[in-house]
Amino acid sequence: MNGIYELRDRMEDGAIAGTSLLSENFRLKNAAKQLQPLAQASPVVKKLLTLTEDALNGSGETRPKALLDALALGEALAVTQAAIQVEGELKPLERLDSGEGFQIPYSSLAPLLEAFKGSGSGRFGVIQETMVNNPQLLRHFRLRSCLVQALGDSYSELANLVKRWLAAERDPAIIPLLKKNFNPQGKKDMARRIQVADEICGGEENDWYRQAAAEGSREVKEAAVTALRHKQENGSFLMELLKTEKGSVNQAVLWTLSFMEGPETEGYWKYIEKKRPEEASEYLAESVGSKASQAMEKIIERELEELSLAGEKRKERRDRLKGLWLDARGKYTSRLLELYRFCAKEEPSLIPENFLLDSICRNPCPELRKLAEEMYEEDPESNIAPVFFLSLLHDSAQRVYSRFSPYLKPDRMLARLTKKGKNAVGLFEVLSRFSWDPGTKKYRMLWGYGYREEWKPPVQISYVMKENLAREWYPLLFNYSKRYSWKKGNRGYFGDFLPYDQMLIQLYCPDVPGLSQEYGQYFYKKALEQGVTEADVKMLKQWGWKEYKGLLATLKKKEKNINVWETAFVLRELPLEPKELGEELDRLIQSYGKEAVTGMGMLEKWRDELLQGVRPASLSL
Amino acid sequence: MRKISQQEIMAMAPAVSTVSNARKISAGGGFVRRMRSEDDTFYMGECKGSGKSNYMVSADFIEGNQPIIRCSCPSRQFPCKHGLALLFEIEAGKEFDKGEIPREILDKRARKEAREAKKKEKKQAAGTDGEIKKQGKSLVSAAKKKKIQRQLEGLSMVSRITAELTENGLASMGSLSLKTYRDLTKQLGDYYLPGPLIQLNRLILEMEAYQKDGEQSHYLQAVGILVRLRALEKKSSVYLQGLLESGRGEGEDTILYEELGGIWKLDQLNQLGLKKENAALLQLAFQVSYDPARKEYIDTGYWADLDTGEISLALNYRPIKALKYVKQEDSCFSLLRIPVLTYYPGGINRRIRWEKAVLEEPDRNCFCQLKEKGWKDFTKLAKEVKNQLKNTLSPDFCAVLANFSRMGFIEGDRGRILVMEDNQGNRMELKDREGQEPSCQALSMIPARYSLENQAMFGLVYYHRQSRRLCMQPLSVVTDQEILRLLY
Repeated sequence: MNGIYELRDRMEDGAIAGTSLLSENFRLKNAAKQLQPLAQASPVVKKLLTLTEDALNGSGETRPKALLDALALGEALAVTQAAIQVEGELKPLERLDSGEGFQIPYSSLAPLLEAFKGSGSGRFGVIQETMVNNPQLLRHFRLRSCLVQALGDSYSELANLVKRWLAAERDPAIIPLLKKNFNPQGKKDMARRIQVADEICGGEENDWYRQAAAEGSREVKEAAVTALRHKQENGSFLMELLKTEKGSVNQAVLWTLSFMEGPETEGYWKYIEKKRPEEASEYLAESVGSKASQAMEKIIERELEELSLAGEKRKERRDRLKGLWLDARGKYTSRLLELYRFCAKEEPSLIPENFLLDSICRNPCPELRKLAEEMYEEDPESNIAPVFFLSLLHDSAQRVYSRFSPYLKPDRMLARLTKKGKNAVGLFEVLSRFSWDPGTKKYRMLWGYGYREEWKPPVQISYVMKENLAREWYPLLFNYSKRYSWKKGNRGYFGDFLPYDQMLIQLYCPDVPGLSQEYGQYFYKKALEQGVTEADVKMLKQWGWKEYKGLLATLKKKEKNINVWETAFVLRELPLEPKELGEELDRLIQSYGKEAVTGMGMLEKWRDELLQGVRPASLSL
Repeated sequence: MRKISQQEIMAMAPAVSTVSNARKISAGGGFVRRMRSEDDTFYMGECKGSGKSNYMVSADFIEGNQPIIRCSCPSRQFPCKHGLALLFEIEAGKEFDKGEIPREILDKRARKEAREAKKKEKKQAAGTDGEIKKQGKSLVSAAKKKKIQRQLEGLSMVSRITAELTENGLASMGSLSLKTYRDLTKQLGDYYLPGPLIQLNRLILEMEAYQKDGEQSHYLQAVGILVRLRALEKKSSVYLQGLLESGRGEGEDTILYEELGGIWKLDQLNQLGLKKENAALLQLAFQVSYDPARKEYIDTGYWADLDTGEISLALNYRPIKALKYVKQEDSCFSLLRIPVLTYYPGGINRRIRWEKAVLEEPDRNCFCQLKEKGWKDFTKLAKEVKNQLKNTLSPDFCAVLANFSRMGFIEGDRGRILVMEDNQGNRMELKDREGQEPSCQALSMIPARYSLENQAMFGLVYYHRQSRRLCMQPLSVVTDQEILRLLY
């Protein structure tokens, strides 16, 4: 067979060089000559050689045609002689048990794969949208390794988005994928793998972290060191690292040691005492251990004493104290709580907003809970948030409702008598931290803080309401007259929705009969009053709302000139047929009358296209 | 004054942009003169054009609300933007002076009437339906003959081009301007030879790619295309000569029909017996690819017949120019029950189409039934595939379903090779096709809880030149419970 392949290759070379030069092609002639003995035994080979002969010796068009025919025959011969068997020891494929094999159509999978593997803008949006609207798709086995690879994406926003998402997903099955092909000398890509494992399984991979902390590159060491905080047995190892590591890794060690309580770390605590307050609190911020609490107590007490003697530097001191209290969240010593009570009464501006709520979220120890109840009794309006939060976690739905709903009821007499119904802000602070989890069918709070340094793992806490919100809450929330006075500002600043509406969206429960209709009604009315957005329409569709006519015209309410992009987005979302959309757009156009408005030409073009039946996604932008 | 609505105007428009342009002309005062006849059947306007002289536009409503639009502008669109603009003028109720219908329009109307009268006479004279058909057939034959002659001329041109290229060598094409060949392919468009035209486009694209990156592999690809072109030209000439001599005018069970510009209708194919009733199909894989030579996206669904195990392809072509008008297909996970399934002429993997299908949820029996139909012996499979692949005009792969007892990898002198083994110890290499989306890596991503023993592999078997072996690019694994797709 080698002779056939040789002849074929020579013929190909001949075609590339040209049959006009074939007569001088001795290699081809030799290759043909080698096959002569075979010709007698095989008619096919004989035919092949005949054609080769015609190619070599022919004239005019005969020559090139003969060569092409010979090539066709040669190739056919080669195919018929193709081998299939493979010798050698068959070893099983190494496979991990990560992801699922459900059916995912091309229309969903291809854009995602393109987003993960491609380059250019738009990828981030595709992946983010999937995470929000179709997170289950990312559980497919084809995408699990894409997610892990994306931790090293050149676009760091995307890499960090994936990191946060994997961490929040809390799927332990991803851990083997994170460890597969792990390179301790890698950069942020490998560091992010450790950070994800840290958040998902905490100290379970302690051995992996120790090895990475010992052998890794700077970025990997930073991540691995912080992950060592989960196990007290790492105290001595960290103290050793403190001696040898410099720069950001040294910083990471100092931060991690704030979680250690053992006697081997005494040297560290003495060192912290000598540090400047703001420096020390940077290391202590995320820890709620007893040592960290004691250290913080001393720092704050000292600062409060010095505040009274501050003089010209009083403002500077006050600012520093505010920062210290922020870092004191979740920490507890009896003296620290006394200091808090003092400040809350005498210098309330020093205490960060929601300090007690955040502290209880961070560390719901009995002492902090007791403090919350006491302060609520003293001044309910100012201290409602932590108590409401605790009630949601421990009380029945009816009890929560009967205790706290008066704050939302517009009963003036009751408000005068009980001083309730004035300020429900505390309730919203708590409710806005919860959202409906369709998986567990409960309201879940996933809350956290701490992104000051990239290597610092954020604090992430999860709670679940004991019982789902009583049905009666919703009408109160929809009708609360001062809803937009909480966190004032414009929509663009906060995101797609104002904070109050965002809270409502998070509290939507699909299992409550009739609730979708009430939500649809509320948001439809709001869109008519304030002007519709793409996000409004998306939510309305989610709630099964049917009435969309008249919404497009509200775009005029928002600004004088036409926002072409926003109009396009809304058009693409509205669940109307192209002709209906064309008519709606025509109404918007007519509402401008003869005003010369920028963007009108584009709207008119779209109107015509829609009336012709062109779908919104295909409108020419 | 005649009434006409915007919707009616838009319905006549050949493109959306024509409407917008027409509106602009009308709204911008493009018409310097407007006239209509007393009886309201004829409207005319003089419209400003881009050149020195104005265009004369008319709309003849002699047949009611389906006007005949005429315009003196050079546009090939019909109706052009000036014609639609005139209609917008009418719709807007603008002032039209009354006047006489021009002589030439009256003459044209008269000629049209005469033609229609003649047609009617002929119809009456012909008598029975059979008579009409007979006349119709002989008319078709004459036109068909003319077309075949033209095609043969075109094939002759193709033959000269391939001979010239081979004589001078592909290397000469690489260094010359490709404009000449692009112009030649444009000319071929007049000869009803889409198949050879596409091959020539492929050749040009290959040489353009060579000019960009200088990779020798493009030459080898180009040689392959030339060989195909030569085979296509030869077989097409024989086929067309045969049609001429025998006087056959209808399509036949041959792949050449489409290569030579024929467009199959389902009825035609059904009449040829290329159909199956009450078919049950399950999709094994789906892909979307772009063919630059055709300038089309192709949605390919690989379907298995549960009764026979035959693997067929459902192809949806989406030309670039019409992308927004042709719907893209998607993966299908349902069992399709098709009352009449139509096949196109072809080899192992024929193209299929259907008009109606009932979708059902496939159950475990379906997957077991499907597995049962897979090839059990790789040597027999190889023989069948080789028989197909050796034909120059066949596709360069065969879609097959093959049962394997186990799979894994082998470390050898060619590096790490993925392999599957049948229950007789025959093995076949699993390897991605060059230039195609890779799928082999997905095998190691299948979660460990899915067994990869004693299952069936669906994939595309092809001839790998460098190793001189038959390899398979796997596309999905069929188990007793489901189909695990490695691509889409």
